[in-house]
Amino acid sequence: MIETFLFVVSSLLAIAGAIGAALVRNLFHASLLLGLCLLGIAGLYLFLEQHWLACVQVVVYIGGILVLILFATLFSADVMGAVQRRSPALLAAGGLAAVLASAVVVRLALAGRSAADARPAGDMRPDAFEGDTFTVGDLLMGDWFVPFFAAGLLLTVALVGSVVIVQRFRRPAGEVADA
Amino acid sequence: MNGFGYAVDALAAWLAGGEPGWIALTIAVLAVWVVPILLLVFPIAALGQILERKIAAAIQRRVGPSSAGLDGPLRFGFRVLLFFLPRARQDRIFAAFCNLRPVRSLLLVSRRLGLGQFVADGIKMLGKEDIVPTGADGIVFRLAPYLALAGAFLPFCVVPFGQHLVMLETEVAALFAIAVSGIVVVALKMAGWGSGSKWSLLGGMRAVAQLVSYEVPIGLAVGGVVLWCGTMDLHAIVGQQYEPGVFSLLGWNVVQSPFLATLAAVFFIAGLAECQRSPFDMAEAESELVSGFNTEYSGLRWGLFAMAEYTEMLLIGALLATLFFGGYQSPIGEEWIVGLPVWLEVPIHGAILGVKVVTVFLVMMWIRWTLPRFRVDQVMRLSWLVLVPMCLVSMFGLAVTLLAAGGTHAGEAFGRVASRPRPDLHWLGHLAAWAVPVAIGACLVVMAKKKHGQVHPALQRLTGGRS
Repeated sequence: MIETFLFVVSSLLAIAGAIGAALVRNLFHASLLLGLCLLGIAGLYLFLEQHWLACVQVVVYIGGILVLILFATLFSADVMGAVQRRSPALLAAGGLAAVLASAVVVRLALAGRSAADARPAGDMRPDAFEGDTFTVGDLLMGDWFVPFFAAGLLLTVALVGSVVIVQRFRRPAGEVADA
Repeated sequence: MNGFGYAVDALAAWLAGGEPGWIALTIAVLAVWVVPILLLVFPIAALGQILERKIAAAIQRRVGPSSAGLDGPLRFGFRVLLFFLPRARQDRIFAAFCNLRPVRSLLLVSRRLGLGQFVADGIKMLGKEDIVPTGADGIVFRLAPYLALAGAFLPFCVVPFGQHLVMLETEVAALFAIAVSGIVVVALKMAGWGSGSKWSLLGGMRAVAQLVSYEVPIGLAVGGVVLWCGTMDLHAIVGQQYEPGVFSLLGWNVVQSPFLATLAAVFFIAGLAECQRSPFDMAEAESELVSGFNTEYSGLRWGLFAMAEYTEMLLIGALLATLFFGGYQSPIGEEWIVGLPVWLEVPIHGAILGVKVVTVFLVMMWIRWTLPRFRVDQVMRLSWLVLVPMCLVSMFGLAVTLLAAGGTHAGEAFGRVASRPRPDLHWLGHLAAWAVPVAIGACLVVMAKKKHGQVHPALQRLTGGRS
């Protein structure tokens, strides 16, 4: 009962947020609506019993990507005026991207459906995957070791790189601060 | 997530007289969590403001609030309690009550301490005109304070207040706390942008840049604890810090290793920045930005931001205590509390956590009224050039310590079977966990001194150029 209600709320958040983000003309509002959509998706992960994934969704997509997008929005021109023109070329490109993305999603959904059909009745979980941290850790350190390590290396390089870039704007090393 | 915690389940079962439905569960959640939080945290946050004013006054050799006592609230209480009597009778009874000797002296003390100030402040805040500037983005502007408050309150869901008192038991508790407090970032950005004012916009940008920068050391510090404890469940982390005997203090994470002590310090400093507390309050710099992202806010909405700040201070205190200082466990032995019946155990554990939180709270205030504000570049430098490298080194050190400790035995910690108990070392091992890193650090410093004739210039430069 309450689960159904919450599920509907999360789904509506995700869908309404996505539609709003696509249609609203104010860039800042569009980014915030995108955040709503991402939050709804985190809620949907909870219904798949993927608590870890839901938290990571919030950390990465809302705490990271959304904030980045908001930053970019604030730095872009005419954000307070906030009416973006729609050129036919952009509309066409966006439409094409949307159609392609939907095709991929529908394809995946159908694949998942046939996989679900193959399973015994009553097993409603879309894909039997224990969402606990140990399984995730095992997967990251096992099957997905190389991508995980590559991502970690990339992030560390970025981190160290940012520090180095900051260092470069210092006064020369010989000039020691008095005091 | 195994339900809403012991107390809620019990109450819901009692309400429903059997298997609780969602209505019973909702009522139980409201009764056990939401109402107490509203009744407790809001006054605590309000009292925090009084405490802050008194401490500020003491540090600056002033008196601080010294007139508003508890007379007013008391009179109001009498009016409500004796609503069936005519007003003159009410006042006579009230006067008689106030003339009782102990009551009179207590009221006098409350006036000296300015205890009633927060009531006056609250009424003043509620009575202020609620302004939405002409250039503001209505919805975004109105929504921002609520989101900020939500982001500050939600992490409390996973903080264990006692053995049976966790709102949300989940194995990803630490991650959850970090995740939902990220909402504050979006809220501040909304406040800064939605106000339609350049001060707010600049303040919002500063706030968000600072918050994002300091989320990295906070995440790494929490990550270090998670690495050490082998779990993200905050309740299990508390359980792992259990040490039998009178010296239960020795089980706390902060004394396990110098690296964990470092992480505790980093967590506290970064937490200070997350609350936008001085010396990291350049996003709310009243002298430069006319107070930053909340410039345009007034009345209740401004109050919500203030409340969010104080709530976040409490949260940082609670998380610091939970991750590093044994959570709700007492420093002088734990067995005598665990054996008590629930109705005694819960308040005692809660009070112990409360004392730890208030201590952190007080230190934050002490720092605020002692240190001057950092510049933007200093804030960023502290995070990226000091705290983050310290975190990385500490995490590496923790990993090495864990490897060196090798055998961990599967035991049970505190009634809950912990996923992996902390390394069960001989006392020599504990000593080594401290001695070896400290010796290596000392060697590094000495070598640097020999080589450069001083501490490494990088270390000096880190503290901010000429200062």
